[in-house]
Amino acid sequence: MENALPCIELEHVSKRFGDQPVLRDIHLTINHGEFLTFLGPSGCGKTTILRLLAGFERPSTGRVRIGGTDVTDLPPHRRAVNTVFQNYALFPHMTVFDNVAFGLRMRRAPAKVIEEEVFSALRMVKMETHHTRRPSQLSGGQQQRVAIARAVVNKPLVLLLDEPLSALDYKLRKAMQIELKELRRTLGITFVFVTHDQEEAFSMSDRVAVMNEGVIEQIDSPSAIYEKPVNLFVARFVGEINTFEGRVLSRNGTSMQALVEGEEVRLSLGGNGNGNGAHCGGTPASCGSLSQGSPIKVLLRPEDVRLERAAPNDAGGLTGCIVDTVYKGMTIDLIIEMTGGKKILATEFFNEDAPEALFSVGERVRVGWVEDWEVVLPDEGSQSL
Amino acid sequence: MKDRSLFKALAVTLTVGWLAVFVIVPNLLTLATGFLTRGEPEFVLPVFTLENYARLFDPAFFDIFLDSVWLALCTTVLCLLVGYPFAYILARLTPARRRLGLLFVVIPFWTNSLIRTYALIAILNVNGLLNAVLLWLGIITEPVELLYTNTAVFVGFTYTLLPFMILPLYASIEKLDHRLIEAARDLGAGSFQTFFRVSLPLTLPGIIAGSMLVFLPALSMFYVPDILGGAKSLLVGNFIRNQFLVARDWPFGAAASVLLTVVMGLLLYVYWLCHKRVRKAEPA
Amino acid sequence: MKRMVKAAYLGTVYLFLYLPLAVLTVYSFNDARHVVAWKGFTTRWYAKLAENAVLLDAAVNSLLLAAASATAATVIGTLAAIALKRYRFTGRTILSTSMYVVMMSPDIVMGISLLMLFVLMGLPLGFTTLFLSHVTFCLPFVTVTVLARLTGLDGNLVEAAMDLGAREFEVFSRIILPLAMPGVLAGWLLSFTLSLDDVIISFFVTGPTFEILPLKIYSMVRLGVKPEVNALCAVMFGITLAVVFLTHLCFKERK
Repeated sequence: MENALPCIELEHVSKRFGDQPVLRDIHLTINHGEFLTFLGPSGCGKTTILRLLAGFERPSTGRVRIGGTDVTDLPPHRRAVNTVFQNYALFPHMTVFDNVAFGLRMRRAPAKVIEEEVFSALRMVKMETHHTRRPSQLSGGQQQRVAIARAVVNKPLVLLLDEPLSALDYKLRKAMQIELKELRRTLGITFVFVTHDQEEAFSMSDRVAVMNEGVIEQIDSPSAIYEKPVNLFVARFVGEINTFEGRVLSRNGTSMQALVEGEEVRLSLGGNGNGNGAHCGGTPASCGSLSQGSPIKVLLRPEDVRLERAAPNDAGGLTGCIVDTVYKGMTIDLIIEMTGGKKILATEFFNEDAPEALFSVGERVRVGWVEDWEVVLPDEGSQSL
Repeated sequence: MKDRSLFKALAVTLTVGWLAVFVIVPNLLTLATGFLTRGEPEFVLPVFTLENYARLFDPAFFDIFLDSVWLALCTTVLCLLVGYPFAYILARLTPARRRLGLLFVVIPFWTNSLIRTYALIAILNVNGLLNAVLLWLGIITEPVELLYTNTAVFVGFTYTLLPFMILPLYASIEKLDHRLIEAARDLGAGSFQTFFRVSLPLTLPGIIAGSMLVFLPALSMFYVPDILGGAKSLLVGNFIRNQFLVARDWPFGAAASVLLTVVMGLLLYVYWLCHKRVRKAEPA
Repeated sequence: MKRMVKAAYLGTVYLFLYLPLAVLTVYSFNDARHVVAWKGFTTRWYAKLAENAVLLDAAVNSLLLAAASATAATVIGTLAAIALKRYRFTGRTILSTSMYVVMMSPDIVMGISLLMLFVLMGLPLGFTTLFLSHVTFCLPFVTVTVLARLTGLDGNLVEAAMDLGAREFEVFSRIILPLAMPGVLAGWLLSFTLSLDDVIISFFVTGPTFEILPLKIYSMVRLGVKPEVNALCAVMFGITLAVVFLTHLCFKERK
């Protein structure tokens, strides 16, 4: 982190609309210059957090601090944040120039300064030749860029972006993601982004906060979230995941014997901080509490599955039959129906040099994994998805 | 947000204040005056009485009230019978013709109803147009005294208020989804049934709105009976006017006004009920 | 065949609506005082009308009153629409209920209740009382028109303005008002017409010092048919025709 001083602090913030709780005890810190994304399904509360930061909503409990100042009671026009709205919200009766100049005019900046700053901002988003146009004459992508210019020209401490790319088509969205990252590098200000698109969140952010029903499930770097999800929700929300049922047989320090899908297997626990150690998700306490008889879930990403042809009379719990293959160019997805009836997904790289290594539909295979690549979670019975 | 904006305070105070002073207070005054006694030379004496409201049921007033209600009702029904087919046909024209047609309904709507009422005199007069035509056609042998009768007032109300019926009807009929009618036909309903079971219920809000816009003014527009009905015609509107400006019996006039307001309230309630029912039946 | 029947029906109703006015206009050119029969073409009644200072004064007064009332009603009505749409305040129910009451009340009830108010306040009847009354009954129509326009407005625009540093008044003057302007103008026009047209309410709150046209016509009309009145009515009908056509053309171009 360039500057580890906190820029935004949410202190035990909660929000209810009537008697409907929308945010439950949100407590987090965002650092200066950080790009943080709130990721989650619709209704999880991510937009509400953004609105709380902007000042359009007030928290039911808790305080909000921006740049060290307590802004909980401050209205939007007194906060050093600017928002880029999902539908751009450009003023239809003003030109591009007037739109971008609006914030500066509100602060009574002198005309010369306004002109310089506005054109500088428009150049940054490559829209300087359109300054006399009206929003209705611009395409979606162009409106998006003007909306960004209108926000950044005021040099806010924080830039809030509410699903700004969701209305754009795929190619444009990818291009804008790259532009936004560049913009952040140039400006160096804090970006708070909201999206429900996991790929988008991962490609742009320093940290991602995965949210569900008003609670932050995990806040971490994209790789940590992907490889070390703390619970089933996060694991399932981000990418594909296979779940095996199991029960602890015995525990020995950093490894344990467990019954997984009916077969006895050795699982390793406790990452040693190298990033590649098998991870026990959940809180350290709950992992520590795993003992003989505890029910567990073993999670495996499709690309971490290792298959080998099963012996003819091998009908163990970790064997299955390939029921479908999906060719994806670089990879092949294999859908395997296990002995117990469960279907899992395995992704293999397509190896042109060893075509005999290709599995085909109907073959029986044994499912395994590279040691330490599995994730073990305590089975909280109420976790349902 | 807890922002103490001067602008907001000003806007709220001005608007609420104005309406409180010029709408709430006068209506409360009217209500209160109905319970007081008339005085001389002041208009009202602060002596509580229920006599005014009791006198409303005297034949002297109540007959007038019933006459007025009957006349207003007939006017409403006639306007409805004439106006509904008109609005229906108009709504089915091509968009260009529709706009033109609406324009020509709006013109009399905007023309001062006083002038339009006056224009009827030339038609209804003893030596007016209507008599001239009827004589010429041989339907009558002597000119008929149409003016200064209740019939003239009836014609006057219908003539003045017809556009007020047509416009809400048109608005409601225009929103009617033609596919619903086609669906009904498809299911075997004849024209008659389709109308009564599909079109009519769905255009009910328009019918009620139009009826209210005709019925209430027909009860209270005193210049129509004044001009066309002469001294003989006494309806509620004239009666109230007389109480205030001729007989100087303000409390009684106020009580009659309150009665009128109650009638209006009842009609609004009926409208609200019908509107709710149609709303519930509509797809979201 | 069916189309002919429909056309005939439409035609008949239109005839019914316009015949009296057409007859009126024709007779305003009739060179005869009391007789219905046609005695020749003349414009002398119009000449007489132009010389009638009392009527012209009343006409000017009506226009002045209408312009003043429309302007005041538009200002207050627009503020009311914005208050109803954007703010939460005590008295919100009073505001919307009163608007509704005014729109639905029979004119005569409004007329007498305002008369009683003015008598109670000790206000002499004249321009002031007329003005206050006209503003009051025009208000709700402005509010309804402006509200309709406001509801179509993108809510994000107001938030964007606040986000960029605008305070309440600036949000109003730079964002809301420009975008709601068509509704505001329509409200003004509506109020102007309603004020010009009003007979009943004005009847109760008018005074000897400020004569307005509808009431002057009323007193003349009660005395029976008179050629100058024919001419006057024809003129007013002509003006209405012109105004309606003009607004129609104006709004057609907008679309």
